[in-house]
Amino acid sequence: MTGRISVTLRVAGVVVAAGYLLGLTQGPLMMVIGALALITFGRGLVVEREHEALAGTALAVVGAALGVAALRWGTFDIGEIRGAQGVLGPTLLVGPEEVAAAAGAAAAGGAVALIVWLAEAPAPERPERWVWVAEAVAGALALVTVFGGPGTRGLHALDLALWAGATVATAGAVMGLSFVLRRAPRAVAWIACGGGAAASIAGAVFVGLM
Amino acid sequence: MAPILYLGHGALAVGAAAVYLVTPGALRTTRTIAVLGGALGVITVLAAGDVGPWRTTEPSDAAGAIAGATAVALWLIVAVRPTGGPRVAIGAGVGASALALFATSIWVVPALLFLVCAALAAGALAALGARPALPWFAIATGACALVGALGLTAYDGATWRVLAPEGLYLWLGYGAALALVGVLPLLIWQAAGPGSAAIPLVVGIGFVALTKIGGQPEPGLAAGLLLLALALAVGSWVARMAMAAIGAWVSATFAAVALAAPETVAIAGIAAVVAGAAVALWPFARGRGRFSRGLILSFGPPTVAFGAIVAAEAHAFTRATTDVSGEVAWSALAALLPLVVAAGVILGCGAARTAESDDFDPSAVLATWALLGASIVTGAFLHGAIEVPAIVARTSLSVLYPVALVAGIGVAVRIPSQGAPPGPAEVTVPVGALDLSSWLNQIVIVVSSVVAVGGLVGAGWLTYQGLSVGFL
Repeated sequence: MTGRISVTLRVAGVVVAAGYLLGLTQGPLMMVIGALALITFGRGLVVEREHEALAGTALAVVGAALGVAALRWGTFDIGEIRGAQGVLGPTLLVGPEEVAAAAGAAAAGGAVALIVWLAEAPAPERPERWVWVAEAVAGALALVTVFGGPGTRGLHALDLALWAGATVATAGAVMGLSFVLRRAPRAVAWIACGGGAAASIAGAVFVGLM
Repeated sequence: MAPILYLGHGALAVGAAAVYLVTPGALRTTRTIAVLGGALGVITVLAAGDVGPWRTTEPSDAAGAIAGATAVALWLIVAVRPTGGPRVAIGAGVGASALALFATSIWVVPALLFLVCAALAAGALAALGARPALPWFAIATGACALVGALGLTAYDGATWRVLAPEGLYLWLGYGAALALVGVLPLLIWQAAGPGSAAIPLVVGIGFVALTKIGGQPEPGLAAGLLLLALALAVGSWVARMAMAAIGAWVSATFAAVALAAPETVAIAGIAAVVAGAAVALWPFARGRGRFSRGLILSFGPPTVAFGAIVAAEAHAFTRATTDVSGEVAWSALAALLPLVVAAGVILGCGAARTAESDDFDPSAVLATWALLGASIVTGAFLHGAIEVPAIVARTSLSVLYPVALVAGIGVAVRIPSQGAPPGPAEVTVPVGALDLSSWLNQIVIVVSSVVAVGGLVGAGWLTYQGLSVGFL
């Protein structure tokens, strides 16, 4: 029964995150963090408490990284972040250069945290392994949407293709690296999470100061 | 309608007293009384802003909704208590009525008299527990300080209306509210167990107090409370969960939310009362209702707790990016609130995974599930009835959550059931955080009594002043 509840929450979290990130529902960025929290809670029901602690910490770092993009554009609304990128360009590429670099550091920190978050999930060999893939795509979609989103210039095929391609590439990369991290000692995961946190905090401080 | 909603709980308490005199162990009748009281509480939440003025009261969206939610939680615990039910019902009825009248009274003398009455009811409920000294201390000091803050503000302002305190009185009021809300694990959370019904009542009094003394955001205090909450979360996790620390984590979090964004006080108060009641019911539901308890304590979507945190985060983020004067505190708040969500997930999972011996009362398990249902319904659908910030109202009515739930269940039923790993080793989550030595217990009780008498004298003196000028 616990396994089924876990899967229910994980899938529900992916659907909620996708709903907000794909623009099907308007809302603040915090809703995406909440959806990722729902996934983490669902996974926590079937993993050891040490894994859950690390996954929760990684979730906080991913949330912090997403918050840097919100700070960059001065809005907490996903639609407004997407709109700002549609007019001015992706968060990672819009100057001044120092701010773009700080956003890049936060994005990198978020990606590292996403790798840790995926590595602490239940083993991908389990029957619900494709739920894990969906979680990776949802996490990657969150990072790509706020840091390199396509904007809202309408249904431009090239924009959408780039957005989808970047999401798939990011998801593939973080899944691959999370497999590597699974085989590494636990300390490596904590260090990686700490590094991601440092990068995100540095990005937040720099973007905030600018 | 107002007299029924406000005095109905008191009438039920009279009924419970009659039942207690005839058949002290009448379980079924007590539960019937509890169901009626719970229904009154639900109506109070829904109609808090629409009941109309009555005698010394005026409708209050936020305070009324918190009082109604507190009544629901109180009567839920009455329905669960298999022994001593009528006695708990008497305290719950008196406390719920007094709190509703304190919440809606606009004149200071009746407001303080009802506050004292609610505090006495809470003290009586805490007395049913094994360790009442520290809960009594919290109730006595909190109520006494609140009488001082509100009473002296009115006296200095030469008015009989309840005014929001300023300056020193404001901080006295904040101290009182935080003591009542239970931001420290050593205070009201010691009542968990036989005195559990005191917990939601005291938390409710604290949040109603915040509606009367607050109004202006306090980002510095809120950030400090969030740091305290995170420290409590880490401590709880390291110590393999302790109910008192988890309860204090809940209170510190939602007190911070209410102080950061005063417009969220209604949903923050409801979230704190619901989560506090889940902790209060824990000793009666050991080994069962773990998932529901965990989800309540994780503050995840779409519960009312998550809505409160989102609203506070949006408020803090906006102030951090636009308000130069208090930018550091606002930035700290905006950064800490997502951490609270993550910490909630870890702590909620810990509560959901903690395997305890099956020493439970089925009604307590049902009540815990009912609390989760109430939290989700309030978070997702009731924002038309409860005053909430626009950002919460905008995000809550989405069809996304039902769709996500259906999708999740649809996938889960197709997963082979052998997918779940074995559960963790069995432990027993401790109820209290501190056992006082005998002499220290006596000292705390004496000090609490002296402070309580001080509060009573203060309220009595103000009442005398009112009588002497012909106000009453």
